[in-house]
Amino acid sequence: MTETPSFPAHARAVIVGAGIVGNSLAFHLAELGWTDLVLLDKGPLPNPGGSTGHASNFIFPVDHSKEMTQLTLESVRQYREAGVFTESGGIEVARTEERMQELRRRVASAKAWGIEDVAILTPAQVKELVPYIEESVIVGGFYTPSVGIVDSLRFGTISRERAQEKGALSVFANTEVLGIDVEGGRVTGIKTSRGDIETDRIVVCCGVWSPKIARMAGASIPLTPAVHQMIDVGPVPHFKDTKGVIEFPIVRDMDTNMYERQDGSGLEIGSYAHRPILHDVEDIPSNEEAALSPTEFPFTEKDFEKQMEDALELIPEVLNDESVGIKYAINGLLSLTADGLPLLGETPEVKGLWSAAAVWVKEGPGVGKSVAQWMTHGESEIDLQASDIARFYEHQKSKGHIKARAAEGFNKTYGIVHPSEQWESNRNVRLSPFFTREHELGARFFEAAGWERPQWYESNAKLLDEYGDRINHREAEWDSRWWSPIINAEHLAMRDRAAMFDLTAFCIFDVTGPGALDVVQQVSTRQMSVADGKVVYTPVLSPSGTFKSDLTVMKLGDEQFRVVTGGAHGMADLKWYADHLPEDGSAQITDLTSAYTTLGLWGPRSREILQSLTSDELSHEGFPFASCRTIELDSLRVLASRISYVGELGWELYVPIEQGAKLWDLVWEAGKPHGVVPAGIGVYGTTGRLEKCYRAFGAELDADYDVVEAGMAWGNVKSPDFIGKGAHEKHRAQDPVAILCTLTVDDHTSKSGVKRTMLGREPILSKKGGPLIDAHGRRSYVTSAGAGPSIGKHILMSYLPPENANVGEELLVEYLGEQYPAPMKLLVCVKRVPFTGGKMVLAPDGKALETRHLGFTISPHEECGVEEAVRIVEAQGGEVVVLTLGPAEAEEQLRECMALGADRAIHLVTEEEWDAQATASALLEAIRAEEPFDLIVFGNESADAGNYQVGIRIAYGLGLPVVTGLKGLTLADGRARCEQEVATGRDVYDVPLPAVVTVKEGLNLPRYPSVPAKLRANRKPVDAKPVERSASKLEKLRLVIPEGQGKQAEILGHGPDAAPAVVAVMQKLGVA
Amino acid sequence: MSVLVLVEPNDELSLQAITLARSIGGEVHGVCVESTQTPVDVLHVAEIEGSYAPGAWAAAVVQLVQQLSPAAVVAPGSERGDEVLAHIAARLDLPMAANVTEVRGDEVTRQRWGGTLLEDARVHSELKLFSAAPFAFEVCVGSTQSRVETFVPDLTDADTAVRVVETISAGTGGVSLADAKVVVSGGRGVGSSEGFAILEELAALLDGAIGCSRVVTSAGWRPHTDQVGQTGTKVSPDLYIACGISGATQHIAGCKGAKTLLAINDDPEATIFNHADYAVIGNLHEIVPAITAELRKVRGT
Repeated sequence: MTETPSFPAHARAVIVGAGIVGNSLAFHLAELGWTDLVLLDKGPLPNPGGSTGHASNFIFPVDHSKEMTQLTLESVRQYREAGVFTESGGIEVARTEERMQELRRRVASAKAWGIEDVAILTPAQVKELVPYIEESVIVGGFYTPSVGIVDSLRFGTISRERAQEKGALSVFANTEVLGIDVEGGRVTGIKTSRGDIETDRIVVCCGVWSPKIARMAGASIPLTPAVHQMIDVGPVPHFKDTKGVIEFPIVRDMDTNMYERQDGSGLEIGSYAHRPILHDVEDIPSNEEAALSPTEFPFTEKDFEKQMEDALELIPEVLNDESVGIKYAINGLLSLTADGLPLLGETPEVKGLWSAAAVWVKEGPGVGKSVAQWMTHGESEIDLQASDIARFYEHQKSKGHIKARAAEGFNKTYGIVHPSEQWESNRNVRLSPFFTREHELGARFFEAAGWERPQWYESNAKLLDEYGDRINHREAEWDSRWWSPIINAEHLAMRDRAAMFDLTAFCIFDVTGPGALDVVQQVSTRQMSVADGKVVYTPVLSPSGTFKSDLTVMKLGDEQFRVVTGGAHGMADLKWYADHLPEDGSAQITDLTSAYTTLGLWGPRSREILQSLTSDELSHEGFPFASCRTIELDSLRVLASRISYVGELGWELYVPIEQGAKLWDLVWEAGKPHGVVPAGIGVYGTTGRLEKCYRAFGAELDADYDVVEAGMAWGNVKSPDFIGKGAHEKHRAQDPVAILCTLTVDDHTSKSGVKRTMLGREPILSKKGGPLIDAHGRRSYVTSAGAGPSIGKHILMSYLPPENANVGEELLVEYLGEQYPAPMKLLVCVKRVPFTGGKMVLAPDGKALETRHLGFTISPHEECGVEEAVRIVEAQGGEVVVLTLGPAEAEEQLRECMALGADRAIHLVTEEEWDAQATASALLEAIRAEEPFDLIVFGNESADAGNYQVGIRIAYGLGLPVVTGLKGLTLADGRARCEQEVATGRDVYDVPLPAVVTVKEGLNLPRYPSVPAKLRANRKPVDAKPVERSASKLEKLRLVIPEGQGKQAEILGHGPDAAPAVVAVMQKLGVA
Repeated sequence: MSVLVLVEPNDELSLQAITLARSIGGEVHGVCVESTQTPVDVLHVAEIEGSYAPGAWAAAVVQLVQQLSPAAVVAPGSERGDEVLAHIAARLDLPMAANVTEVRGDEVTRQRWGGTLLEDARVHSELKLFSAAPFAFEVCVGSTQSRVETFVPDLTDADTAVRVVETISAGTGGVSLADAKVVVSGGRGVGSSEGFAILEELAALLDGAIGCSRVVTSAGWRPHTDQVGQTGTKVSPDLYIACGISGATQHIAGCKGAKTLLAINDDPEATIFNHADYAVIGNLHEIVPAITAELRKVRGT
């Protein structure tokens, strides 16, 4: 231990709170070269009594959020490195089919974020890993082997001591913060029970106490303390012989919002199922007052009754044992926020006051490192935009809002949360001036930045008839939840006529003053020194040249620039501009979000509609794209901007908010003769922009990708300096290692035949089903997904490695555990046969042909079978396996099949030919040992034995449909259309996959293998295994050369002179 | 003990199957889906609704087998015959001998390599399942007037899951290869797709069809529908003219049903001559036009 130093008068930064976050942050700041750091806590060390001290300390890395997963993975890396991580594995179990779908969605998220080693388990497999579970109550599980537990207190100590060893940190326990000094909006010092420290940086890492500390500076850290109940039972006889703290995987009983983890000889049971129990910071006792620790409240047993029953159901073996007692039970406090995400970064209210709060043990060290980087470099490697504390609007910082949302969100901790799911509590806070009109039109409102925005209008249901079969409906409930086909109809009406959009949620602020140009130049990538009335769309970059935002700027005058940005991220953008105001006060920022409303009007008829309200010039030449000016619409003066997120033609129309209703009525009436429709954000934010390949911040644009990769490096780099310029120039000079691409989905059919629709964030895979990883280790995933009604296809956007970014390249997308287009797994069964010439010669034993002078091959039918399978996989991805039963030499034929394109082979090695029945049973066993095939292909009959039955026997063995003698095969929508040639033409069969087919030559014309294909085939795997000989019930006794092979033809003549003799024969036969 | 035979109406191959069944001895029962005049002792008509479904046919026969306990079930050597019999074999888990030419108690002779090789085999099961090799015997069935009994088999959905859902009629152009009285067939010696013009001319004159060997379809000179052979069409014309075909077993298996085989080949040692009734030795490109010309001359056209 380091000696307690004297209390300093100055510090470069003061970290308040010595839990997992504060300790980790102190270490990382020291690593980054910071010195004179001070870490304070009002409690004792090593456990000062916050949430870290009673945390359950387990880590499940998989989350649907990329940001949270990255923070967790980074944390696990640090925990492992410090030697405080014990891998136990973890299983999320499902009690319902709906949950199973959610677990498969988690598999997809795991793969999208690079956690490959996960699996869906059957109840029996779960039981194998967790023997004390009652398997009958579950339908399956999602297994993550890399789940583990950590010693978070030990990690805190290690971190703290490492920083102290560097001489960078002084630590003071039992030191309470009494006040924060702020001058001119900046932190200048901190007052504590041990004395005052002069400093311009304070980081609040106080967990549940954070709001109280922030308030001392006049800032807001919007979180609420909430109860999480847990109990510890034991000793569990089942754990008697286990070594260490944990041997069995942690179980999350997702449908009851609970978890059960082994803790030495005991079992810890935690719950997020009870009623939300929220507290105020003021309710938390001091260390002295608290019975246990300040954040371990007395257990309220009544709230846990139902959970006790649920737990008993899942693990009766442990809990039904009367000798197992409840040893410890608490209402543990943890931090909840309105949107469930952490609160990181500098507070927008006070410069120098940072927050690293609402962080759980699983992401603590990752947060510590990221916030340290942010404080040092102005940005972090992991994009923290979703956790940025600057994201909140004023009302979102209110206690009422936080408590309403935290209460609603608490029971969603293990919930099945749809990506578009809407909050129910505290709605109707921000209403646009169009709200009444929209409500009358049957708007379905979604929330954005607290605004109520129409997502679509039920009154547009009539458009479904108008657009009929151009509308793609969604078959699965999950895919269609929070969605309506009306969105697509509104889209088509916009493309045909015109549509009105409520864009009031835009965040609008003016940068004004003599220094305004410098500010916008500095922050924006594109040239801002433009003519008045120009509208510039620009990326906003971080110092390292990745995306901080993208937005539009209207130049209204030499000293007035109006920034318009999306509502969701508007407050963070406002802070970023404000952070770059000059010291001399020559530029100011005014937030106009609540001053102006915006109405969008787009579609081919929009010019005619507007023109009917004004005599002002609206022609293409007179009012060009990317320009803005004030026009008169009837009695209103309107700032019109010709710009669009859904494609030309149209305008954004800005008026003071109290004139909004009038503007709506004017445009609505004028638009009626032109068939104008109201359209929701479903069109504006998804279908409209995706068809035009417009990127969205937070989806395509984030800190993981740069401007060149996003395909937005248009024109030259401007000469004035801007943030990220150096990095941006470097990016332009290099070849990008990922390219943003637009993909369309060829086939939505799932294995069950239901058409499924991807919603975004799914992994993109190679045609063989492997991950696509670029040179920087980033995986391809769907950044945005949505309908493209005009093109009739579902559109996905994704960054792809350059080698895959080719027009026409076919890829797969994994959705809910299945791949689309579904890759086919095909098996072709072949037989080695001699390549006979004209004359048969028998071997001495009379049971086989003499083959010394013969080559070998597979039957022509089978060649067509291999060709067909390879073509299917070439067209839709998948794998072709070939299977044979035959002598060691048959490997030659397997290699030939692989040279034709099969991927791997299975060889059942025998010495002699078996009869069809025995062959079928051996093949059946080999096929059952494999993952199920979608299609199993046989030749109609083998060239030599001609038994006509092995394929049919296999079909019966597997319980699959079988169609024989195919000369035509089409696979679509999970079915096989099979054509047979018959005397009168063709018979057609239609069977569901999986199926067995036997095929005939003529199905296709097989290819000849190329030389490289031959060489490749030699490297492909052959799984050779001996098989037990079973008795042939059709026992071959001997072979016989039939008579007639030596018959002597009558020679009619030589050359053309023989013609008369030939004709004479014809006459004799009566055919001449 | 009886023998049960699958029969299809007006089907030569069914008569061949009945011939084989008669050779086994005992009462011969026929089973069919569509009632027909056929020389068996008892004809069981299975009333099965709808189009051909191999599983349904097999289910019907299996039910009949349980009722009659025959010594053998014999199927015609047609695609459907072999298919239904294989379904029966799979359902009963019994051995099945396809393409049988002769039955001698537990022993059978069956064809391999499309009939260019024979196999003697012993069948180790009580109930024997045979399909009759096509065109391997003279039909000799007498003219028994059969007693007809209809029955409705119990069918499950699985039995009818695979069935013909659509039939596409073949185009009506020309004589079909399978039915032609004369087939003019070309092999590697024809040399090219264009080389078939002289064969087409002769075939047209004889109201015949064009055939070819596997080498020709693999080379892409002719469509697979023209291929005669073990894996192509099996033909039985009055006259088969093999032009430039060497006579691999693959091909012979398809044309051995021809009543007369005339081979034209410039190699006097060609295997085809071992299977031919008549031989013309020399260049087919000269001989075929000469035959065409001679034919025209004789006809006076």
